[in-house]
Amino acid sequence: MSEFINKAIEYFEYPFVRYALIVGVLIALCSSILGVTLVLKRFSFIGDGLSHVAFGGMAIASVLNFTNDMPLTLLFTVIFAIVLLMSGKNAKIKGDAAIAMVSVGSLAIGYLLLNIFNTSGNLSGDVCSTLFGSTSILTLTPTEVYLCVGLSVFVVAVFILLYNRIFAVTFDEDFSKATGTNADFYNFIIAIIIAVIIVLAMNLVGSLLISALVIFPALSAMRIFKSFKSVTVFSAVLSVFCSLLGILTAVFAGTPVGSTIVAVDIVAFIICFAVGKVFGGKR
Amino acid sequence: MKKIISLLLVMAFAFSLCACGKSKETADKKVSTDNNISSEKSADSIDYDISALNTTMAYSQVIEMCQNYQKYLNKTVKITGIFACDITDSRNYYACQIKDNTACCSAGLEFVLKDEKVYPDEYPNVGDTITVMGVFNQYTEGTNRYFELRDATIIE
Repeated sequence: MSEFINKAIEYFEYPFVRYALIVGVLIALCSSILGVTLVLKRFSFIGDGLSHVAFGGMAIASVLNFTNDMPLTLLFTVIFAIVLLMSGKNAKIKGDAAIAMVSVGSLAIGYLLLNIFNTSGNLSGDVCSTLFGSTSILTLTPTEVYLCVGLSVFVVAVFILLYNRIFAVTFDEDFSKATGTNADFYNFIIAIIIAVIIVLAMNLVGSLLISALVIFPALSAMRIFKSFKSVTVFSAVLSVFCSLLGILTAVFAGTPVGSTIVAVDIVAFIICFAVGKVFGGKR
Repeated sequence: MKKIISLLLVMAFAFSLCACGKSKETADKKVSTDNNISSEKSADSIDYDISALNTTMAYSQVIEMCQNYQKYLNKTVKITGIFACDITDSRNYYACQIKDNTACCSAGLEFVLKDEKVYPDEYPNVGDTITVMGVFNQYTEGTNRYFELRDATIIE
């Protein structure tokens, strides 16, 4: 045990481990609180779709030789998040079909551009790293950490300040509009926040696994709690715990960070499902 | 009022996490001191023993060394990885590479042996696992910066 503690203390003295834990906690927190809204609005797979859009944006930035691909990636993701979330009930291509179309289209075009205008010496490595996260979370620079902290504070602050409006728009958008709430504006805010979270989360778990960060904590919380506030709080706590445990396990065991975090989320869901079945859920 | 308090708590939480970075220099000095202490105990005087780390940590540490190279210049580094070489008309480049845990990316350090040896007879086979120890150094070729272990020895 003392050997494990000594090893843990030694590992924590590496700056990239501390950065990974800070960013991992913040991303898990942000993705989980928005995840509840997305799951309830039946947009669970939007994380997957937008992450593929972010991949396409990253590919374009890479082809154009941008030093920092985050601004262009964020711009593309925000635009498509707004298009997908604000298309509304009158859209000709609705919900899951729109997400699927945007998702596979962005992935294909992004990979095609990277192949044709290859500026990297290791194309497959870059693509694999973006899709699965690899050790991206463990190779962050201090600037990226500060940016992540700033964006996370923004996301959480907006969620807390607009909690009642987001709650109303999530559960009954038509009623919200009827009572004078500017539902379109709040959907616009939600879309921007989701885009920011997706771009940040790509560093943690990669494009293909982002949906897990969004979906699993919310669904786990819904097995036990029934009220929106309880589900949101428990989802946030659970997501942070799973993210911490996943990163630490990956660091100590040498496993891929993204997959390990998702595996921990799955175990947590199973436990919450069992607890919900046994105790019947708490209102 | 509740929302303002919640907001303040969130910001305090976020900034308290940022404060961890203030001890970076202290921690790094401690790491260096600890490594120096361990190096005093061993005959090899290793400042950074990357060979003792698992794949995830070793890969990340090499990336960290390349990103913040000033901190690691002239430090003795020991690394275990796969031997790779690039034969060109001007010179040969030898490296010790570490693959990340998804095996799709690799990071490594070029090394220049202390004792001149003839390739390929006196070098390992490409793809062999080797452990190299040398002094971390940086050099430029054209507009690019590269990193190497100079005065290196292949331990195993």
